[in-house]
Amino acid sequence: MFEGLVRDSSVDGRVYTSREVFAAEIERIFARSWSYLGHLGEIPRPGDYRRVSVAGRELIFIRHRDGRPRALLNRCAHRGAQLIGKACGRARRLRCAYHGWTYGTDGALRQLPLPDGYVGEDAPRAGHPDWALDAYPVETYRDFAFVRLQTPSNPLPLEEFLGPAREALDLMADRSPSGNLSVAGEPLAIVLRCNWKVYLENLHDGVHPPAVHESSIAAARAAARVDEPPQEVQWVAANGQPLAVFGDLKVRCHPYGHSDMSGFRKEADGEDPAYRQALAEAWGAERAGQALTRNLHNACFYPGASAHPQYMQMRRLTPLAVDRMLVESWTLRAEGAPESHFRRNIRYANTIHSPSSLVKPDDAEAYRRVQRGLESFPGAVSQHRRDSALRDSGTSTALDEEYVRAQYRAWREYMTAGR
Amino acid sequence: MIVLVEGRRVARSQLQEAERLLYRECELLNRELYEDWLALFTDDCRYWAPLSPEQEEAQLHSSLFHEDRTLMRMRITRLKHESAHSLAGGIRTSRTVGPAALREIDHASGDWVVERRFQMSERQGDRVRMFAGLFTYRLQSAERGFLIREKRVDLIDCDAPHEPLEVFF
Repeated sequence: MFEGLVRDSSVDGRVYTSREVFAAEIERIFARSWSYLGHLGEIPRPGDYRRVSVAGRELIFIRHRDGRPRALLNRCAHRGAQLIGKACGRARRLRCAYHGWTYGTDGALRQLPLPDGYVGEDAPRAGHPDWALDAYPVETYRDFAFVRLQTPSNPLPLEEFLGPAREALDLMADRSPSGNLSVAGEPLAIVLRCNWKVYLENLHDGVHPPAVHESSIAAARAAARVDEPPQEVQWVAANGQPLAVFGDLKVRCHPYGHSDMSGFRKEADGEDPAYRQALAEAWGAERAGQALTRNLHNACFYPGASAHPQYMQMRRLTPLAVDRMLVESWTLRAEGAPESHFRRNIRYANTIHSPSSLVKPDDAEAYRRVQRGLESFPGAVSQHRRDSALRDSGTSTALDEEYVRAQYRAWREYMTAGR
Repeated sequence: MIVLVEGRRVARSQLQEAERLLYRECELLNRELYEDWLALFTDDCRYWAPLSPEQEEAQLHSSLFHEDRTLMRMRITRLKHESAHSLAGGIRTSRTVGPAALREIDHASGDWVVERRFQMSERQGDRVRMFAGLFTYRLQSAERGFLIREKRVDLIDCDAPHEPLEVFF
Protein backbone atom coordinates (compact mmCIF):
# COMPACT_ATOMS: atom_id res chain seq x y z
CA MET A 1 0.00 0.00 0.00
CA PHE A 2 2.95 2.37 0.53
CA GLU A 3 4.49 1.61 -2.86
CA GLY A 4 2.07 3.86 -4.73
CA LEU A 5 2.92 6.92 -2.61
CA VAL A 6 6.34 7.31 -4.19
CA ARG A 7 7.02 7.98 -7.86
CA ASP A 8 10.33 8.65 -9.61
CA SER A 9 10.35 12.43 -9.21
CA SER A 10 7.47 13.19 -6.89
CA VAL A 11 5.75 11.79 -3.83
CA ASP A 12 2.26 11.87 -2.40
CA GLY A 13 2.09 14.54 0.32
CA ARG A 14 0.55 12.01 2.69
CA VAL A 15 4.02 10.53 3.30
CA TYR A 16 4.54 13.65 5.47
CA THR A 17 1.15 13.85 7.13
CA SER A 18 -0.33 10.39 7.59
CA ARG A 19 -0.11 8.93 11.09
CA GLU A 20 -0.37 5.47 9.59
CA VAL A 21 2.63 6.07 7.35
CA PHE A 22 4.55 7.52 10.29
CA ALA A 23 3.86 4.49 12.51
CA ALA A 24 5.00 2.18 9.71
CA GLU A 25 8.16 4.25 9.16
CA ILE A 26 9.14 3.84 12.80
CA GLU A 27 8.83 0.05 12.63
CA ARG A 28 10.11 -0.53 9.10
CA ILE A 29 12.76 2.16 8.64
CA PHE A 30 13.96 3.30 12.05
CA ALA A 31 13.75 -0.06 13.83
CA ARG A 32 15.26 -2.02 10.93
CA SER A 33 18.19 0.19 9.97
CA TRP A 34 21.26 1.07 12.02
CA SER A 35 20.31 4.09 14.18
CA TYR A 36 22.92 6.42 15.63
CA LEU A 37 23.12 5.76 19.36
CA GLY A 38 25.97 8.08 20.29
CA HIS A 39 29.71 8.46 20.38
CA LEU A 40 31.69 6.40 22.88
CA GLY A 41 33.15 9.71 24.10
CA GLU A 42 29.76 10.36 25.73
CA ILE A 43 30.24 7.32 27.99
CA PRO A 44 34.03 7.23 28.54
CA ARG A 45 34.15 5.06 31.69
CA PRO A 46 32.50 1.73 32.58
CA GLY A 47 29.07 2.42 34.06
CA ASP A 48 28.64 5.76 32.24
CA TYR A 49 25.22 5.87 30.65
CA ARG A 50 22.90 8.11 28.67
CA ARG A 51 19.22 7.64 27.91
CA VAL A 52 18.50 7.57 24.18
CA SER A 53 15.19 7.23 22.37
CA VAL A 54 15.38 5.14 19.19
CA ALA A 55 12.35 4.25 17.09
CA GLY A 56 10.05 5.04 20.01
CA ARG A 57 11.92 2.74 22.41
CA GLU A 58 13.74 4.23 25.34
CA LEU A 59 17.23 2.75 25.55
CA ILE A 60 20.11 2.97 27.99
CA PHE A 61 23.36 3.58 26.11
CA ILE A 62 25.84 2.28 28.67
CA ARG A 63 29.43 1.13 28.83
CA HIS A 64 29.95 -2.27 30.47
CA ARG A 65 32.99 -3.45 32.47
CA ASP A 66 34.42 -5.04 29.32
CA GLY A 67 34.69 -1.53 27.81
CA ARG A 68 32.06 -2.25 25.15
CA PRO A 69 28.81 -0.28 24.82
CA ARG A 70 25.40 -1.83 25.32
CA ALA A 71 21.93 -0.71 24.26
CA LEU A 72 19.50 -1.92 26.95
CA LEU A 73 15.77 -1.39 26.97
CA ASN A 74 15.02 1.09 29.79
CA ARG A 75 12.25 -1.09 31.20
CA CYS A 76 12.35 -3.34 34.25
CA ALA A 77 11.63 -6.98 33.42
CA HIS A 78 9.29 -7.19 36.46
CA ARG A 79 6.41 -4.72 36.05
CA GLY A 80 7.80 -2.79 33.11
CA ALA A 81 8.73 0.37 35.02
CA GLN A 82 11.19 2.78 33.46
CA LEU A 83 14.48 1.85 35.10
CA ILE A 84 16.72 4.90 34.68
CA GLY A 85 15.15 8.27 35.43
CA LYS A 86 18.15 10.56 34.89
CA ALA A 87 19.15 11.70 31.39
CA CYS A 88 22.73 10.60 31.98
CA GLY A 89 25.00 9.50 34.79
CA ARG A 90 27.17 6.70 36.08
CA ALA A 91 26.11 3.51 37.82
CA ARG A 92 27.63 0.18 38.91
CA ARG A 93 24.20 -1.43 39.01
CA LEU A 94 20.84 -0.47 37.57
CA ARG A 95 18.27 -0.68 40.34
CA CYS A 96 14.55 -0.36 39.71
CA ALA A 97 12.98 2.41 41.81
CA TYR A 98 9.79 0.36 42.27
CA HIS A 99 10.65 -3.07 43.79
CA GLY A 100 14.42 -2.93 43.72
CA TRP A 101 15.16 -5.47 41.00
CA THR A 102 18.83 -4.91 40.21
CA TYR A 103 20.67 -5.42 36.93
CA GLY A 104 24.29 -5.33 35.84
CA THR A 105 25.55 -2.86 33.26
CA ASP A 106 25.25 -5.69 30.73
CA GLY A 107 21.53 -5.99 31.53
CA ALA A 108 21.76 -9.30 33.46
CA LEU A 109 19.38 -9.61 36.42
CA ARG A 110 21.63 -9.72 39.51
CA GLN A 111 19.22 -9.47 42.42
CA LEU A 112 15.56 -9.40 43.25
CA PRO A 113 13.85 -9.17 46.63
CA LEU A 114 12.38 -12.34 48.25
CA PRO A 115 13.86 -14.69 45.61
CA ASP A 116 12.34 -17.74 47.37
CA GLY A 117 8.87 -16.35 46.81
CA TYR A 118 8.98 -16.90 43.07
CA VAL A 119 7.67 -20.34 42.12
CA GLY A 120 7.11 -22.14 38.83
CA GLU A 121 9.35 -23.12 35.91
CA ASP A 122 9.20 -19.70 34.29
CA ALA A 123 9.62 -17.77 37.56
CA PRO A 124 12.09 -14.87 37.65
CA ARG A 125 15.53 -15.67 39.00
CA ALA A 126 18.84 -13.88 39.06
CA GLY A 127 21.19 -14.72 36.21
CA HIS A 128 18.48 -16.22 34.00
CA PRO A 129 18.60 -14.77 30.45
CA ASP A 130 14.78 -14.60 30.22
CA TRP A 131 14.84 -11.99 32.99
CA ALA A 132 17.65 -9.83 31.70
CA LEU A 133 16.90 -6.42 30.22
CA ASP A 134 16.31 -6.60 26.48
CA ALA A 135 19.62 -5.80 24.79
CA TYR A 136 19.89 -4.75 21.14
CA PRO A 137 22.87 -5.29 18.83
CA VAL A 138 25.35 -2.42 18.89
CA GLU A 139 28.15 -1.98 16.38
CA THR A 140 30.71 0.80 16.34
CA TYR A 141 32.65 2.42 13.52
CA ARG A 142 35.57 4.61 14.68
CA ASP A 143 33.78 4.84 18.09
CA PHE A 144 30.48 6.01 16.58
CA ALA A 145 27.94 3.56 18.01
CA PHE A 146 24.84 2.45 16.11
CA VAL A 147 22.02 0.17 17.26
CA ARG A 148 19.50 -1.98 15.42
CA LEU A 149 16.21 -2.85 17.08
CA GLN A 150 15.04 -5.53 14.67
CA THR A 151 17.39 -8.05 13.16
CA PRO A 152 16.31 -9.23 9.74
CA SER A 153 17.13 -12.74 8.51
CA ASN A 154 20.04 -11.42 6.49
CA PRO A 155 21.48 -8.62 8.64
CA LEU A 156 23.72 -5.98 7.13
CA PRO A 157 26.92 -5.24 9.09
CA LEU A 158 27.25 -1.57 10.12
CA GLU A 159 30.26 -0.89 7.92
CA GLU A 160 28.46 -2.16 4.86
CA PHE A 161 25.36 -0.15 5.79
CA LEU A 162 27.39 3.07 6.07
CA GLY A 163 29.23 2.33 2.82
CA PRO A 164 31.14 5.28 1.29
CA ALA A 165 29.23 7.68 3.59
CA ARG A 166 31.52 6.55 6.41
CA GLU A 167 34.21 8.85 5.00
CA ALA A 168 32.63 11.65 7.06
CA LEU A 169 33.23 9.64 10.26
CA ASP A 170 36.78 8.80 9.18
CA LEU A 171 37.56 12.45 8.54
CA MET A 172 36.47 13.32 12.09
CA ALA A 173 38.31 10.48 13.82
CA ASP A 174 41.43 11.14 11.73
CA ARG A 175 41.60 14.68 13.13
CA SER A 176 43.04 13.13 16.29
CA PRO A 177 46.48 11.52 16.12
CA SER A 178 45.19 8.91 18.59
CA GLY A 179 41.82 8.57 16.83
CA ASN A 180 40.14 9.53 20.10
CA LEU A 181 37.28 12.02 20.24
CA SER A 182 35.65 13.33 23.39
CA VAL A 183 32.39 15.07 24.17
CA ALA A 184 31.96 18.02 26.55
CA GLY A 185 28.61 18.57 28.21
CA GLU A 186 25.15 18.57 26.76
CA PRO A 187 24.25 18.54 23.07
CA LEU A 188 22.45 21.50 21.53
CA ALA A 189 18.88 20.30 21.08
CA ILE A 190 16.25 21.85 18.83
CA VAL A 191 12.65 20.84 18.22
CA LEU A 192 11.30 21.35 14.70
CA ARG A 193 7.61 21.32 13.82
CA CYS A 194 7.90 19.17 10.73
CA ASN A 195 7.99 15.60 9.56
CA TRP A 196 11.51 14.13 9.87
CA LYS A 197 11.86 13.77 6.10
CA VAL A 198 11.36 17.50 5.47
CA TYR A 199 14.53 18.12 7.47
CA LEU A 200 16.60 15.47 5.65
CA GLU A 201 15.47 16.81 2.30
CA ASN A 202 17.03 20.18 3.10
CA LEU A 203 20.53 18.88 3.91
CA HIS A 204 22.13 19.47 0.51
CA ASP A 205 19.58 21.94 -0.86
CA GLY A 206 21.59 24.70 -2.52
CA VAL A 207 18.58 26.54 -3.90
CA HIS A 208 16.90 27.47 -0.61
CA PRO A 209 19.55 29.69 1.08
CA PRO A 210 19.01 33.00 -0.76
CA ALA A 211 15.23 32.83 -0.25
CA VAL A 212 14.95 31.25 3.20
CA HIS A 213 17.90 33.04 4.80
CA GLU A 214 17.32 36.51 3.38
CA SER A 215 17.00 38.11 6.84
CA SER A 216 20.14 36.59 8.37
CA ILE A 217 22.15 37.22 5.19
CA ALA A 218 21.14 40.90 5.36
CA ALA A 219 22.06 41.04 9.06
CA ALA A 220 25.45 39.47 8.39
CA ARG A 221 26.15 41.85 5.50
CA ALA A 222 25.30 44.83 7.69
CA ALA A 223 27.61 43.50 10.41
CA ALA A 224 30.39 42.94 7.90
CA ARG A 225 30.19 46.61 6.84
CA VAL A 226 30.67 48.22 10.22
CA ASP A 227 33.10 45.93 12.02
CA GLU A 228 36.01 43.70 11.32
CA PRO A 229 33.77 40.71 10.67
CA PRO A 230 34.24 37.77 13.03
CA GLN A 231 33.90 34.27 11.62
CA GLU A 232 30.30 34.02 12.83
CA VAL A 233 29.39 36.80 10.41
CA GLN A 234 31.09 35.02 7.53
CA TRP A 235 29.38 31.71 8.33
CA VAL A 236 25.97 33.35 8.24
CA ALA A 237 26.80 35.45 5.17
CA ALA A 238 27.87 32.31 3.24
CA ASN A 239 24.19 31.56 2.56
CA GLY A 240 24.08 34.67 0.40
CA GLN A 241 26.46 33.40 -2.26
CA PRO A 242 25.14 33.26 -5.85
CA LEU A 243 23.34 30.04 -6.85
CA ALA A 244 26.21 29.23 -9.20
CA VAL A 245 28.43 28.68 -6.15
CA PHE A 246 26.01 26.03 -4.87
CA GLY A 247 26.21 24.45 -8.32
CA ASP A 248 29.88 23.83 -7.60
CA LEU A 249 29.05 21.79 -4.50
CA LYS A 250 29.33 18.12 -5.33
CA VAL A 251 26.66 15.83 -3.87
CA ARG A 252 27.25 12.08 -3.82
CA CYS A 253 24.36 9.68 -3.34
CA HIS A 254 25.24 6.41 -1.64
CA PRO A 255 23.27 3.20 -1.07
CA TYR A 256 20.54 3.04 1.60
CA GLY A 257 19.65 6.74 1.22
CA HIS A 258 22.95 8.13 2.53
CA SER A 259 24.61 11.12 0.85
CA ASP A 260 27.30 13.75 1.33
CA MET A 261 28.22 17.15 -0.04
CA SER A 262 31.65 18.69 -0.60
CA GLY A 263 33.15 21.84 -2.05
CA PHE A 264 32.57 24.61 0.51
CA ARG A 265 35.53 26.71 1.56
CA LYS A 266 37.78 24.74 3.92
CA GLU A 267 39.04 26.23 7.18
CA ALA A 268 42.85 26.27 7.50
CA ASP A 269 43.35 23.44 9.97
CA GLY A 270 46.91 22.46 9.15
CA GLU A 271 48.72 25.54 10.37
CA ASP A 272 50.28 23.97 13.45
CA PRO A 273 53.37 22.04 12.21
CA ALA A 274 53.57 19.81 15.30
CA TYR A 275 49.94 18.78 14.87
CA ARG A 276 50.42 18.18 11.16
CA GLN A 277 53.41 15.96 11.89
CA ALA A 278 51.58 14.01 14.61
CA LEU A 279 48.73 13.28 12.20
CA ALA A 280 51.15 12.23 9.45
CA GLU A 281 52.93 9.87 11.85
CA ALA A 282 49.62 8.37 12.96
CA TRP A 283 47.85 7.99 9.62
CA GLY A 284 50.48 8.46 6.91
CA ALA A 285 50.95 11.63 4.88
CA GLU A 286 48.11 11.11 2.44
CA ARG A 287 45.38 10.33 4.96
CA ALA A 288 46.57 13.09 7.31
CA GLY A 289 46.43 15.51 4.38
CA GLN A 290 42.86 14.45 3.63
CA ALA A 291 41.84 14.97 7.26
CA LEU A 292 43.16 18.53 7.14
CA THR A 293 42.14 19.63 3.67
CA ARG A 294 39.20 17.57 2.40
CA ASN A 295 36.22 19.90 2.34
CA LEU A 296 33.42 17.42 2.98
CA HIS A 297 30.75 19.78 4.31
CA ASN A 298 28.01 17.46 5.52
CA ALA A 299 26.78 13.89 5.32
CA CYS A 300 23.43 12.20 5.81
CA PHE A 301 23.20 8.77 7.38
CA TYR A 302 19.67 7.90 6.42
CA PRO A 303 17.36 7.97 8.32
CA GLY A 304 18.63 9.17 11.67
CA ALA A 305 21.95 10.99 11.68
CA SER A 306 23.96 13.68 9.99
CA ALA A 307 27.52 14.98 10.32
CA HIS A 308 29.43 18.20 9.59
CA PRO A 309 32.96 16.78 9.52
CA GLN A 310 34.78 20.06 8.92
CA TYR A 311 33.42 21.45 12.20
CA MET A 312 33.35 18.10 14.00
CA GLN A 313 29.57 18.09 14.45
CA MET A 314 27.52 14.92 14.82
CA ARG A 315 23.75 15.16 14.84
CA ARG A 316 21.13 12.64 15.88
CA LEU A 317 17.62 13.00 14.46
CA THR A 318 14.65 11.69 16.40
CA PRO A 319 11.13 11.70 14.98
CA LEU A 320 8.76 12.63 17.84
CA ALA A 321 5.46 12.59 15.94
CA VAL A 322 4.34 12.79 12.34
CA ASP A 323 4.78 16.57 12.49
CA ARG A 324 7.53 17.00 15.08
CA MET A 325 11.20 16.07 15.40
CA LEU A 326 14.23 16.57 17.60
CA VAL A 327 17.75 17.34 16.37
CA GLU A 328 20.63 17.01 18.82
CA SER A 329 24.12 18.26 17.90
CA TRP A 330 27.42 17.37 19.52
CA THR A 331 30.75 19.07 18.89
CA LEU A 332 33.40 16.37 19.10
CA ARG A 333 36.82 17.26 20.40
CA ALA A 334 39.81 15.58 18.73
CA GLU A 335 42.40 14.53 21.29
CA GLY A 336 45.78 16.02 20.38
CA ALA A 337 44.35 18.69 18.05
CA PRO A 338 44.93 22.41 18.76
CA GLU A 339 42.46 23.80 21.29
CA SER A 340 41.80 26.69 18.89
CA HIS A 341 40.04 24.22 16.53
CA PHE A 342 37.68 23.09 19.25
CA ARG A 343 36.94 26.68 20.30
CA ARG A 344 36.12 27.59 16.69
CA ASN A 345 33.93 24.50 16.29
CA ILE A 346 32.00 25.40 19.46
CA ARG A 347 31.38 28.86 18.00
CA TYR A 348 30.24 27.25 14.76
CA ALA A 349 27.80 25.05 16.66
CA ASN A 350 26.46 28.08 18.57
CA THR A 351 26.04 29.97 15.29
CA ILE A 352 24.50 27.24 13.16
CA HIS A 353 23.01 24.51 15.39
CA SER A 354 21.86 26.31 18.55
CA PRO A 355 18.13 27.01 18.98
CA SER A 356 19.24 30.68 19.10
CA SER A 357 21.00 30.48 15.72
CA LEU A 358 20.17 33.42 13.43
CA VAL A 359 20.00 30.97 10.52
CA LYS A 360 17.85 28.25 12.06
CA PRO A 361 14.51 30.03 12.70
CA ASP A 362 13.92 30.63 9.00
CA ASP A 363 14.83 27.03 8.14
CA ALA A 364 12.46 25.87 10.88
CA GLU A 365 9.78 28.19 9.54
CA ALA A 366 10.20 26.83 5.99
CA TYR A 367 9.88 23.25 7.32
CA ARG A 368 6.81 24.22 9.39
CA ARG A 369 5.18 25.85 6.37
CA VAL A 370 5.78 22.72 4.27
CA GLN A 371 4.12 20.72 7.02
CA ARG A 372 1.20 23.13 7.35
CA GLY A 373 0.72 23.36 3.58
CA LEU A 374 0.65 19.59 3.19
CA GLU A 375 -1.69 19.16 6.14
CA SER A 376 -4.19 21.49 4.54
CA PHE A 377 -3.95 19.53 1.27
CA PRO A 378 -1.36 16.77 0.72
CA GLY A 379 -1.38 16.68 -3.11
CA ALA A 380 1.86 15.88 -4.90
CA VAL A 381 5.32 17.08 -3.82
CA SER A 382 7.86 17.73 -6.54
CA GLN A 383 11.43 16.46 -6.52
CA HIS A 384 11.94 16.97 -10.23
CA ARG A 385 14.80 19.49 -10.04
CA ARG A 386 17.91 18.43 -11.95
CA ASP A 387 21.09 20.41 -12.36
CA SER A 388 20.91 21.06 -16.08
CA ALA A 389 24.71 21.41 -16.31
CA LEU A 390 25.15 17.76 -15.40
CA ARG A 391 23.00 15.80 -17.81
CA ASP A 392 23.64 12.15 -17.08
CA SER A 393 27.17 12.32 -15.76
CA GLY A 394 26.30 10.17 -12.73
CA THR A 395 27.25 12.92 -10.27
CA SER A 396 25.03 15.50 -8.68
CA THR A 397 25.25 18.97 -7.16
CA ALA A 398 23.49 21.03 -4.51
CA LEU A 399 21.20 22.37 -7.25
CA ASP A 400 19.90 18.88 -7.99
CA GLU A 401 17.23 16.97 -6.04
CA GLU A 402 18.84 13.63 -6.84
CA TYR A 403 19.72 13.00 -3.15
CA VAL A 404 16.02 13.42 -2.27
CA ARG A 405 15.01 10.94 -4.97
CA ALA A 406 17.69 8.59 -3.61
CA GLN A 407 16.21 8.94 -0.11
CA TYR A 408 12.83 7.87 -1.48
CA ARG A 409 14.32 4.90 -3.30
CA ALA A 410 15.63 3.78 0.10
CA TRP A 411 12.30 4.66 1.72
CA ARG A 412 10.43 2.44 -0.75
CA GLU A 413 12.88 -0.44 -0.17
CA TYR A 414 12.40 -0.28 3.60
CA MET A 415 8.64 0.25 3.51
CA THR A 416 7.88 -2.57 1.09
CA ALA A 417 10.53 -5.11 2.17
CA GLY A 418 9.22 -8.61 2.81
CA ARG A 419 5.83 -7.78 1.40
CA MET B 1 14.22 47.71 44.95
CA ILE B 2 17.81 46.49 45.18
CA VAL B 3 18.37 44.34 48.26
CA LEU B 4 21.82 44.50 49.77
CA VAL B 5 22.87 40.94 50.35
CA GLU B 6 26.26 41.35 51.96
CA GLY B 7 25.29 44.50 53.79
CA ARG B 8 27.77 46.56 51.81
CA ARG B 9 27.50 50.26 51.92
CA VAL B 10 26.77 52.05 48.69
CA ALA B 11 25.26 55.44 48.04
CA ARG B 12 21.47 55.45 47.83
CA SER B 13 21.71 57.45 44.60
CA GLN B 14 23.80 54.71 43.01
CA LEU B 15 21.31 52.05 44.04
CA GLN B 16 18.50 54.06 42.53
CA GLU B 17 20.43 54.52 39.33
CA ALA B 18 21.15 50.80 38.97
CA GLU B 19 17.50 50.13 39.69
CA ARG B 20 16.41 52.50 36.91
CA LEU B 21 18.86 50.95 34.45
CA LEU B 22 17.61 47.42 35.06
CA TYR B 23 14.00 48.52 34.81
CA ARG B 24 14.75 50.15 31.47
CA GLU B 25 16.66 47.08 30.31
CA CYS B 26 13.62 44.80 30.57
CA GLU B 27 11.08 47.37 29.49
CA LEU B 28 12.95 48.26 26.29
CA LEU B 29 12.93 44.57 25.35
CA ASN B 30 9.23 44.31 26.22
CA ARG B 31 8.61 47.23 23.88
CA GLU B 32 10.90 45.90 21.14
CA LEU B 33 13.13 49.01 21.29
CA TYR B 34 16.21 46.94 20.59
CA GLU B 35 18.55 49.76 19.49
CA ASP B 36 17.88 51.69 22.69
CA TRP B 37 18.36 48.46 24.60
CA LEU B 38 21.78 47.83 23.02
CA ALA B 39 22.83 51.36 23.98
CA LEU B 40 22.69 50.26 27.64
CA PHE B 41 25.63 47.89 27.06
CA THR B 42 29.39 48.51 27.00
CA ASP B 43 31.39 48.07 23.81
CA ASP B 44 33.00 44.90 25.19
CA CYS B 45 29.68 43.48 26.39
CA ARG B 46 28.53 39.89 26.35
CA TYR B 47 25.10 38.25 26.32
CA TRP B 48 25.30 34.69 27.57
CA ALA B 49 22.74 31.92 28.20
CA PRO B 50 24.49 28.69 29.27
CA LEU B 51 23.30 25.34 27.95
CA SER B 52 23.93 23.42 31.21
CA PRO B 53 23.16 24.35 34.81
CA GLU B 54 26.74 23.52 35.82
CA GLN B 55 28.37 25.28 32.87
CA GLU B 56 31.26 27.49 33.99
CA GLU B 57 32.55 28.88 30.74
CA ALA B 58 31.52 29.36 27.13
CA GLN B 59 34.67 28.69 25.09
CA LEU B 60 34.86 24.91 25.47
CA HIS B 61 31.13 24.18 25.81
CA SER B 62 28.19 25.10 23.61
CA SER B 63 25.76 27.72 24.86
CA LEU B 64 22.14 28.56 24.12
CA PHE B 65 23.31 32.14 23.44
CA HIS B 66 26.84 33.50 23.47
CA GLU B 67 27.07 36.87 21.76
CA ASP B 68 29.29 39.91 21.72
CA ARG B 69 28.10 43.33 20.62
CA THR B 70 28.52 42.51 16.92
CA LEU B 71 26.38 39.38 17.17
CA MET B 72 23.80 41.13 19.36
CA ARG B 73 23.49 43.83 16.71
CA MET B 74 23.16 41.15 14.02
CA ARG B 75 20.26 39.59 15.93
CA ILE B 76 18.59 43.00 16.20
CA THR B 77 19.02 43.67 12.48
CA ARG B 78 17.38 40.33 11.70
CA LEU B 79 14.51 40.91 14.14
CA LYS B 80 13.71 44.13 12.28
CA HIS B 81 14.10 42.65 8.78
CA GLU B 82 10.94 42.43 6.70
CA SER B 83 11.89 39.00 5.31
CA ALA B 84 12.44 37.29 8.65
CA HIS B 85 9.94 34.58 7.66
CA SER B 86 9.63 33.09 11.13
CA LEU B 87 8.40 36.46 12.42
CA ALA B 88 5.69 36.83 9.79
CA GLY B 89 3.00 36.14 12.40
CA GLY B 90 4.60 38.63 14.81
CA ILE B 91 6.46 38.05 18.05
CA ARG B 92 5.63 39.74 21.34
CA THR B 93 7.26 39.25 24.72
CA SER B 94 6.60 40.28 28.29
CA ARG B 95 9.17 40.01 31.08
CA THR B 96 8.24 40.15 34.74
CA VAL B 97 11.07 40.43 37.22
CA GLY B 98 11.57 39.89 40.93
CA PRO B 99 13.57 42.08 43.34
CA ALA B 100 17.15 42.80 42.31
CA ALA B 101 19.93 41.80 44.69
CA LEU B 102 23.41 43.29 44.70
CA ARG B 103 25.51 40.17 45.11
CA GLU B 104 28.99 41.51 44.85
CA ILE B 105 31.15 44.50 43.99
CA ASP B 106 34.21 43.33 42.12
CA HIS B 107 37.30 44.67 43.94
CA ALA B 108 39.47 44.98 40.86
CA SER B 109 37.02 46.45 38.34
CA GLY B 110 34.44 48.02 40.61
CA ASP B 111 31.72 46.17 38.61
CA TRP B 112 28.47 45.44 40.38
CA VAL B 113 27.01 41.96 40.13
CA VAL B 114 23.22 42.08 40.39
CA GLU B 115 20.80 39.15 40.21
CA ARG B 116 17.07 38.91 39.80
CA ARG B 117 14.53 36.22 38.96
CA PHE B 118 12.43 36.60 35.82
CA GLN B 119 9.53 35.10 33.93
CA MET B 120 9.00 35.77 30.25
CA SER B 121 6.02 34.95 28.07
CA GLU B 122 6.47 34.95 24.34
CA ARG B 123 3.72 34.96 21.77
CA GLN B 124 4.78 33.97 18.29
CA GLY B 125 2.42 32.96 15.50
CA ASP B 126 0.00 30.42 16.92
CA ARG B 127 1.58 29.66 20.28
CA VAL B 128 2.68 31.14 23.62
CA ARG B 129 5.81 29.93 25.38
CA MET B 130 6.93 30.49 28.96
CA PHE B 131 10.49 30.94 30.14
CA ALA B 132 11.79 31.40 33.68
CA GLY B 133 15.12 31.70 35.39
CA LEU B 134 17.76 34.05 36.71
CA PHE B 135 19.23 37.21 35.18
CA THR B 136 22.75 38.03 36.37
CA TYR B 137 24.05 41.46 35.36
CA ARG B 138 27.56 42.73 35.54
CA LEU B 139 27.32 46.52 35.66
CA GLN B 140 30.22 48.76 34.83
CA SER B 141 30.30 51.83 37.02
CA ALA B 142 31.39 54.78 34.88
CA GLU B 143 31.49 58.55 35.20
CA ARG B 144 28.22 58.99 33.38
CA GLY B 145 26.49 56.20 35.24
CA PHE B 146 26.16 52.45 34.86
CA LEU B 147 26.46 50.39 31.69
CA ILE B 148 25.84 46.66 31.34
CA ARG B 149 29.01 44.71 30.71
CA GLU B 150 27.33 41.31 30.78
CA LYS B 151 23.86 39.87 30.96
CA ARG B 152 23.75 36.21 31.83
CA VAL B 153 20.51 34.23 31.61
CA ASP B 154 20.17 30.90 33.39
CA LEU B 155 16.96 29.26 32.20
CA ILE B 156 15.50 26.64 34.53
CA ASP B 157 15.19 24.38 31.46
CA CYS B 158 18.41 25.42 29.71
CA ASP B 159 19.33 21.76 29.10
CA ALA B 160 15.96 20.82 27.55
CA PRO B 161 15.26 20.85 23.80
CA HIS B 162 13.82 24.14 22.57
CA GLU B 163 12.14 25.40 19.45
CA PRO B 164 14.08 28.30 17.91
CA LEU B 165 14.90 31.13 20.33
CA GLU B 166 14.87 34.43 18.47
CA VAL B 167 14.63 37.30 20.94
CA PHE B 168 16.80 38.12 23.95
CA PHE B 169 15.35 37.02 27.30
